[in-house]
Amino acid sequence: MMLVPFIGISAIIFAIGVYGALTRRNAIGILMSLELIFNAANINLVAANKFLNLENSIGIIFPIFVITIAAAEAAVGLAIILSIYRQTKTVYVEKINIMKW
Amino acid sequence: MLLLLLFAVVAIISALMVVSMKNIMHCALFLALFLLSVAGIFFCLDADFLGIVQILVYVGGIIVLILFAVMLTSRVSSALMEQTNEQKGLAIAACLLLVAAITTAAFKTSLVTAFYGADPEGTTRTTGELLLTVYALPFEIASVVLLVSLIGAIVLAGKKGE
Repeated sequence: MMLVPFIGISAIIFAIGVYGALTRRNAIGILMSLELIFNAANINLVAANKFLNLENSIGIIFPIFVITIAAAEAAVGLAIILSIYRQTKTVYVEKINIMKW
Repeated sequence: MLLLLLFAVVAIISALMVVSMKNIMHCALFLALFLLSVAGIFFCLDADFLGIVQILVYVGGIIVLILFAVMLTSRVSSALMEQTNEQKGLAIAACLLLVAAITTAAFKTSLVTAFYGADPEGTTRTTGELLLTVYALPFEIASVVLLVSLIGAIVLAGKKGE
């Protein structure tokens, strides 16, 4: 086994996530695309730890913190979306323009 | 090896479904499948603890949160509406360029010849020891971050004016 196929897999998943974040109209869909991007980064880190024998297993420890921050991000992000939905009755990002003038 | 290939293919196909399905509810369910197959990839790479954390936190926590949010806002996100904006073609081109750039860069480095560092005992034991010794401070700070986000979510989504 080699490391490069794993970099390829995570690059593909990362690009799919970027595509979703760029084109989704639904704010919840954008949050889901962000989860794809986090997971692509995690696959990369775990594969690097496996193949390169990194010092102090940083490739295993770092994804734990990434998952922690992703959980915090999802909770706060969905709370913001629900709050916006209560005020504007929409979750489509092009209709949420209260910060524009 | 075959199992790893299967997990990778399922992960990529379900990731494509997450960004292309029209019904946002189906997207959330495909996201659950994607996260499970990523957990399978972690298991194949000897990161047992990380795979279990992935299943517990992502599939057990974040997916449930997302499903709640989808159901609470489902009145407007009907399956008939167009779910992508007008920059679709440009975004596809940009993402293909991104994949090409990353893979060519990966082939140009010395990582191509990286060896397979076998660790038959699994990494759970070393992970636990490292989290409580070398990485104890980041571990504690992460708990503060979680507390702050908990309070922030309650303040943002809770009822106002009471």
